[in-house]
Amino acid sequence: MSLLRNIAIGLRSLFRKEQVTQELDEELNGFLEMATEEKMKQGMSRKDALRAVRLERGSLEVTKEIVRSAGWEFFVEALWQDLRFAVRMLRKSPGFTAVAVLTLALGIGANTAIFSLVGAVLFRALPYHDPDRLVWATNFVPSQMQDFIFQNVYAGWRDQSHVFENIAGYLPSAEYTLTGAGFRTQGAQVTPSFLDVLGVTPQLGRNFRPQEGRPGGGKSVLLSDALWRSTFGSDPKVLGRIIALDGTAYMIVGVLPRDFEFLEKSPADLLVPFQFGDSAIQEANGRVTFRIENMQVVARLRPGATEAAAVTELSQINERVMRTLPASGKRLLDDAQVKVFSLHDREVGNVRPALIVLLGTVGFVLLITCANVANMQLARAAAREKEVAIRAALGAARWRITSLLLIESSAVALSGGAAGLLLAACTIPLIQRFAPANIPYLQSARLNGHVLVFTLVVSLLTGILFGLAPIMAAVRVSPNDTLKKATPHSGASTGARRTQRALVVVEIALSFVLFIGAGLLVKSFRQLTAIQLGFDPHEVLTARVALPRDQYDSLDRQRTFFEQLVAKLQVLPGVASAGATAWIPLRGVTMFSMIQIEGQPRPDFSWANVPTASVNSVTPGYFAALRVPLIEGRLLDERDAVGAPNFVVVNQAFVRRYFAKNEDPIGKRFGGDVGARTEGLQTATIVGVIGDTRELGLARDTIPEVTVSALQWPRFAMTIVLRTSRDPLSLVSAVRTQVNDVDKSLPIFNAQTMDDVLSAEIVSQRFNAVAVAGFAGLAVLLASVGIYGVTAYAVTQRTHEMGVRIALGAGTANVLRMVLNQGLSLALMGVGLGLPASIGLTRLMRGLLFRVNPFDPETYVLVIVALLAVAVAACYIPARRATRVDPVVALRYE
Amino acid sequence: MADKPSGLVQGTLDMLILKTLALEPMHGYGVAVRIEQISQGVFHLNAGSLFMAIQRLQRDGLIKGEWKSSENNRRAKYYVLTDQGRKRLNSETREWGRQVAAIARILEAS
Repeated sequence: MSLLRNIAIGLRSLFRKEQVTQELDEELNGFLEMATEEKMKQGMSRKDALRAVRLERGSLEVTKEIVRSAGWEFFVEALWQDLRFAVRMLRKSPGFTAVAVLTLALGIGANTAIFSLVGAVLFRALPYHDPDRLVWATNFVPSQMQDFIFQNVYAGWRDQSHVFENIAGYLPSAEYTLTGAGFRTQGAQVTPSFLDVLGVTPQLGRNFRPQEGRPGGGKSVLLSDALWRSTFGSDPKVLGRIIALDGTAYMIVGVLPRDFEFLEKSPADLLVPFQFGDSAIQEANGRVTFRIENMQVVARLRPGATEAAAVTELSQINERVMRTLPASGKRLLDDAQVKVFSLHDREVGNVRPALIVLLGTVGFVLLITCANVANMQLARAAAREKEVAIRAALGAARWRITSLLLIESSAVALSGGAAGLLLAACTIPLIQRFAPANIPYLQSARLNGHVLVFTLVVSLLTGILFGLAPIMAAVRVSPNDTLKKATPHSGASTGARRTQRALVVVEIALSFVLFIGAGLLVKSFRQLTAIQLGFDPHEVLTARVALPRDQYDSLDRQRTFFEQLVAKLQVLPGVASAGATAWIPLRGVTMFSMIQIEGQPRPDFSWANVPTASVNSVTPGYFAALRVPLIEGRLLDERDAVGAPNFVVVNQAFVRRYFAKNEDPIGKRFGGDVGARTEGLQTATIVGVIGDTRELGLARDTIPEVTVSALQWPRFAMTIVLRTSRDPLSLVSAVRTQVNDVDKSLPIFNAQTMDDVLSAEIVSQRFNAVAVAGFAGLAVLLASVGIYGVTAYAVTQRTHEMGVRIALGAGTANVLRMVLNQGLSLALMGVGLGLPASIGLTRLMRGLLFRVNPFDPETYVLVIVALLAVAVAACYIPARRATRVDPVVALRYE
Repeated sequence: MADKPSGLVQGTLDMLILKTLALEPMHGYGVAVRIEQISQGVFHLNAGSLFMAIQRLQRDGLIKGEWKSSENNRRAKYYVLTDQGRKRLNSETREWGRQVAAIARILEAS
């Protein structure tokens, strides 16, 4: 009650100030009158009476002041006054204000933009129930650089583990043709436990039943909310309807919730049961397999269970399962390592270092900004020393002076923050456009409440940070000494000057670190782009065609389709050569097979020692279309058709790995899983050697590869590769027409140029390099402004001294050298400070570098030279001015 | 700016004002004069501390001000004790009595 009344009265005196003041005046005047009358009754003259009252009761003016300053509203009013005064002062020096606000806008804007992006990616909780307990688990086989999940291992993990509350398997989403709808959708196979593990319930219908996860368990499908809305018109009676996926009938049993997201950052419009048994699969051709290609495992830890405990337990289960396996399965597992990651790390983990480096970079930029504005404030503080001294002399309390300065810097900082927000709002869409697509959730970044709070806090902290230096300078002001100073241009005290120079040294050190980081990233990027691709990516169109397995159930049908298609594409106007391949380079898609080279000792049964190779299958036109060079022997051609001997070409990496230096690989034979996998072991003869193409990705090493003829061993899904004599993308619709000419139900997808595939590879490196280099450039610019400012200021301060020197005969060169030396010494100190800092910090970005040592001497030397050059350039202008000082004018200054 | 009335124990001014107003509603000058009269000149109030105390009491809701015309037809702000103020005066008086008695006992102990 009393607090409310207090606030009400305070507000009244704030907003109805005149009335309140008037009442107080009237009351006090009444008081004075009454007291005076009393005295006059005792016989005093009015004048004497007034005097006596004032002596007895105190001055009325002082009383008013005391009564007014008693309430809390007085404090608010003082702040308001200070704020208005601050704004007035800032408007009086528009140059300073504009530069300070602009500088801060750059620093705060950069931080706001990057924070909102990083926040959207790193701090986003996965959209599942209690996501912290979700983990992703696998058996990684280092010798194969692949994950292997066997269905009996999965069954062991599922049935024997105590660390998991629930476990599910899934396959990454793949394309399905929704027959009738006429387009391909992304769908994923998941075990029936999948939604339970994630804690997701269908919004309509039911989840999969356990029996639906076993072979022959029936074909059911769950629709995504988007697919349900777009294709089925949000029909609630959709349950029970039958749809055809790739020609197979599935029954709709449920609709996923609207906010459902599939894993692996990939969309899934439908989920179908992932059906497999617990033991080995007997394939139609008699081959027995254990492994489920591409299978992924996601699990929910029991409360309190750790990832480390999961690794231990799963490894033990692996051992137990291995004892039940035949030799061929055993040798796969003996080399396997169990890996368990938190699902969040799995989804965003690989981009974390880059984002953290980016966040650190903009943090540095902000510090530099602070230092710069603090420096400008200090220079101003020197000019205002007198004002502060007069205020102090007139009895202003120290807290009033401090609060005035603090309010001034906060006003500058908040204006900078507002401008920065504007800047960030413009920058975020720009970054989203140029950022690599592999950063998940980046597109969802917005200037939301969190970001606004962040900006506000950063702005205020910035204001306090750069406001501190001038406050300390002001608090040190002694009215006596300052007012006694004779000259109006005496300038900053030695202490303030030392602070200024220290700030510049710090700025240079910070920008040095950023410069080094940027240099290393740029060099990495250059290394990456300088890599020999092994093919010519320009003017090449690629597009994927996948045949439905039920209609193209024999090698003959698959072969006929691709033969016909390639023949039609070959004669398209604008096409120089056409081919088809199981996969194109750079995408990281391959299939490894074990091989056994004739005449070489049979290795023991362990994956680590078994020779392996990636096995591609191409039509003859492929080599010409990508311009893969022939090194020796011959390429595959029309002769390598059905019924012809099993001839293959291998790449140079294969020759290096499996043959001695002087051995001729041509004519050598080897066995293995070389043909189409379903045909079992084949014996192949090497007829040619081709150059290495980077299958796994630009930054990855080349791998031994065998290429078989697709005329003999086609695949269900192949990528068409066309070398064109015009803009490759202009041919997309022609390609679609040709595909539909052979089979009108087939779509093409992933139509893109090889140049685009390539740039997708380098986009993250380019993004890192460009972003950090941009911010480093900004930092260096700010730092050079800092050096310039301090040097220019020092020159102005020393005009008198310069005048004397020149009058005494100092030459232009002398003066120039003196000023430059001063700036250069600051720069050198900055570099001296920045060198150990960057050696410490660049280690953290090792993971982002490609074939560049974090301590790359070339980069260090280059950066030191460049930074010193910038420092000299920044000092040169004020130095020139110093040489032009007219001694007569300078000495008359006083 | 030290406005403490000479010889007045800190915090007792509020109580004295409340007591004065308990007798009858009064304006500021009246309060000052009444306190001086009753204390027989021991306490002398200057305007600063008087009005600051009045302001404080008003904000705490212990007294209420009202403009009225005074005995010699001058407009003056008269202060009245609120219910809350009366309660406070009672409790403070009791507490004061207790404390004075206690202090007296200590000082008289031999």
